[in-house]
Amino acid sequence: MNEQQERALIHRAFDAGLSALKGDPFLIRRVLSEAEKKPAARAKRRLSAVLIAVLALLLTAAGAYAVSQAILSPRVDAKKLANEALEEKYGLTPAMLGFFSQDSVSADGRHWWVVYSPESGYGVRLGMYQVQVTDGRVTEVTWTLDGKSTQGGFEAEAWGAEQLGEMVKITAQTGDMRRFYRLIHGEKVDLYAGMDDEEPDVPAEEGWAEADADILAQEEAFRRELEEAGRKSKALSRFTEDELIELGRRGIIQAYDLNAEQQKRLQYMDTGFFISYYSTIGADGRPTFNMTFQSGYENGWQEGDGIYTVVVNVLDGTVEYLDYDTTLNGNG
Amino acid sequence: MENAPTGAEHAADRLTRLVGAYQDTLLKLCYVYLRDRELARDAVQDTFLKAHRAMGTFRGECSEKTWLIRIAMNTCASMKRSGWSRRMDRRFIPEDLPCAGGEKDEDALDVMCAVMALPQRLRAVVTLYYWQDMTVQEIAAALGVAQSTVSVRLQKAREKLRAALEGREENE
Repeated sequence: MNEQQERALIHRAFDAGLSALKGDPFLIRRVLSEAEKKPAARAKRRLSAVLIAVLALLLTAAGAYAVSQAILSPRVDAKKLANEALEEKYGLTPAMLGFFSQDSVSADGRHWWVVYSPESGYGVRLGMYQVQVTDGRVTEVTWTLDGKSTQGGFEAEAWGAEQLGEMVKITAQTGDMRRFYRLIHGEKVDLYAGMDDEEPDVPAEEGWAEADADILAQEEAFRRELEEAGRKSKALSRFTEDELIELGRRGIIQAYDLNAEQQKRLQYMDTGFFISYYSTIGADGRPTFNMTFQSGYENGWQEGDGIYTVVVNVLDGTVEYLDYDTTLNGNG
Repeated sequence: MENAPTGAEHAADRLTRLVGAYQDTLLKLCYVYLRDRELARDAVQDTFLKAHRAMGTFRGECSEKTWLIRIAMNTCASMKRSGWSRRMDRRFIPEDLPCAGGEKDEDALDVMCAVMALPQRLRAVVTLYYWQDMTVQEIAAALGVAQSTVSVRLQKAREKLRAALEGREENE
């Protein structure tokens, strides 16, 4: 067989073997949404001295008000409305939504898309939820598995509130999320069995070192950008750190409607793994303070427990970003 | 250089164009690398995110396609090193091939299985050389290795593929 024939054969093989692999129609939205989340130091614009002076005058009164009342950014507000819409239409609680990563994106600040995507490998059963919010009102709520049956427990074609509720219970007790992955991918699994630790490490393949240097260099450059952005944001802050922490706490309570007991369990974390830091958000480089709150665990996992990540704008106190991780899906 | 970005092109427009032109190709490349379609989707998203962020630094020294493939390969390598990925069983199972239903081209599927069974480094060069019709020089740029390394890997891959396919014919 000559090279031309080999090439034709491989083309035929890829056409036949990967024919069902199709692209994600929401990919552009997801990428733009992700791009908004982390600091974009290169795109950051410097605030001119005049602009800072004007902002200082305008925000003196607003800042004092903001400490007593959390202001949710349109992004966080859209997410709050989307969570409520999913609870109303599909019966999904914040704990159930912890099995999904949540992205909100808007091109114009008026129309928001909030997209809930499951962890890798779970999409076939959990699907993807999407909520459209326009001018502060929910206009569309969809699930990619709408129309498929959710009856029959974990045998069902699609897993909705019933199965997600059960997943919350099982993972809260066993700490093992992977059993659902294995079930989805055809293994016979006892979902209610105790923790299974018999998972061997797969040895590293050769050749990774080639990519290492490049990745480490990228990470180092990103870290330096982050530090520089943080220094500038801290200098611009109009709030003390205690005030920023209080704004973050109020944002969480407001967005997730936490009850008195849940509020009591909510603890600000700035030790060990959890580090608060100044940074920027968005392509326009809005200066922020990023922090983490943790709830619960003394008496096992309860509704509302988990890790809350909050990003507060240090100029006007707006809660720019808010994320809730139940820690039940193995990421906590 | 083909499709070199122009300064006037808005970042979101450029992202839309790149996703439209390369999403399917990158998804298949990442799948072949990672042997998992959901991980491959994550890798593609991460690739376009990195490209979107680094768009201003792309100097057009290689084609956009080569640049994206290099990012995708680095992303896949990074994902394979993660704790989660290391604990997953990534052995290739022919039934996992994402092929559409209907009448199947069994010979072609056998070849695809043989490709998927190759070690990761050999799978990458076979995919880029035969399926993406890239030159050895382009593959070296995309993978960040020497051209001689690509040639050696291609030779090894050919030998392994021939052995696998001959073995299959003997068994039939």
